[in-house]
Amino acid sequence: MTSPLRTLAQVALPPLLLLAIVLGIWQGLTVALEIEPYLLPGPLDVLQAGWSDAGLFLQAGLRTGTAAVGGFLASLVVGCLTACLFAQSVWIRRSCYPYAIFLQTVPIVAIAPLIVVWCGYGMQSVILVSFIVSLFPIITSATTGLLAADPDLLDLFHLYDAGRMTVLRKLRLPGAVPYIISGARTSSGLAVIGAIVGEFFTGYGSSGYGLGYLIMQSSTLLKTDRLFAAVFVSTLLGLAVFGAVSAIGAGILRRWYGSE
Amino acid sequence: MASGLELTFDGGHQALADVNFRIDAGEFVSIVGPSGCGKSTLLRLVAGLLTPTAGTLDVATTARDDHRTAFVFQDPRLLPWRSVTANVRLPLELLGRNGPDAAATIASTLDLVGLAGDDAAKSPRMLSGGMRMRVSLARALVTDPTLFLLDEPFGALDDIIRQRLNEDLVTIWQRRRPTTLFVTHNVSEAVFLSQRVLVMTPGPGRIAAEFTVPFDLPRPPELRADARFAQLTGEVSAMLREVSA
Repeated sequence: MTSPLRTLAQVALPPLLLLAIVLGIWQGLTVALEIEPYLLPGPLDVLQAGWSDAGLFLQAGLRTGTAAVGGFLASLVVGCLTACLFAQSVWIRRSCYPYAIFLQTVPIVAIAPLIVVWCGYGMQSVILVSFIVSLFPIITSATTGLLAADPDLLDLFHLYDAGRMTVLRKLRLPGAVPYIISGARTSSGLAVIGAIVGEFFTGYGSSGYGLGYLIMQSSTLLKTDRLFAAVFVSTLLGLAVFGAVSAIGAGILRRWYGSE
Repeated sequence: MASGLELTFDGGHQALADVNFRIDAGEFVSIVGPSGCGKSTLLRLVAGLLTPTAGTLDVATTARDDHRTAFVFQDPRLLPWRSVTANVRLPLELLGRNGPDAAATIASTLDLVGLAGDDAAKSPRMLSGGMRMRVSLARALVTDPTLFLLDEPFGALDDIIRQRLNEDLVTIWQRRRPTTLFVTHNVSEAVFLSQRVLVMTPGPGRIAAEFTVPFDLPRPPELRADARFAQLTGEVSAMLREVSA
């Protein structure tokens, strides 16, 4: 038996060590080669930029995080409902699936201006972009899960005269939970990316700013150290949302299957 | 009960041809046959899960109309997100019989299949294969079926557990007396359990022979060491070899 602390050390130590080495080399090179900070700031410059604007980043991160969580939750609800519809008949699936793929393949950059035209600048548009970007994985994984119901169990439900809705409620949906959770993990990361991309195009107007805006603005002003810091905070936000969804998912699975 | 039964699947594959047999109410009949001879298909026809392409199948109306047909699969097929009790409750829920007396019915059914009270709250994942099959039997028996259909239920279990479940199944059948049709490819299991054994042949499936099992009830484990048991098992096996050749 290994203690949880030891397991954590075994998992976390190697990547952290690698990170430290890469940061060391990076810092060493920028100093040794005298690279201009607007081209490539050293890690210490980035840290300083992040620290001096900590309040700014916190506020932006919270706003972007809110939009991402909003978009993700909308995807989760709409994705599951769509999947329930898809699972009802092969004809619904055949006629609607190409349009679901369209969601996945349409360049969000291309329709972002449309979203601004329809929904205006502000949080609602950012959430909408995040939602569109993160919807597809939920639809596919939930549909797969709903259709994966065991044929024997379907027979059992028919034997006891269960209707379509009962089969959905008591067999297909509970059975799809692991699939939905795995789709939600993929989708949560995409929701954060979607929110940041959404901010590039729509912003929040005068009401505030998110990480996407900070990235754009820092880039325009050639504040490369702040740009790096903003990218780093965005990554942290993505990890936080992904980690939270994964942890909640693991908790649900543990309770769902009563494993010890 | 069944005469001139035929089933041809959409692809043109004929699974059953001219199957004739009769099972009396309260009887325990086994069907043995090589894999792929259509015995599972036959069982699904009797359950009403498939419709014959020709022939007639008369199942006593009480079994069909009151949903008192029960089916046990090759695997326990429990819902992993439900506890043992909740799994056994499922048929009652689906039939709208989940009233106040459901809890007592479930408890007595669990007792019938030999599951102790403290297993009731457990998750199926925490149980052994044999215990899971007992839960599956309880789920089938909770509606007090008049027609009890089992499709090679103990095939995946090791021999000692299979034998113990066989002994318990005879006791359960003796107490409840459902009309029972038991599909297996294990001859000694069929002989131990049944009053009659039907031998099926493959391609397409037909009933080739019928054996009456003369042993008294209850059937103790020692029956398996009896010379008459060995002889009958030998005869059925010989017939099975002949039709499989």
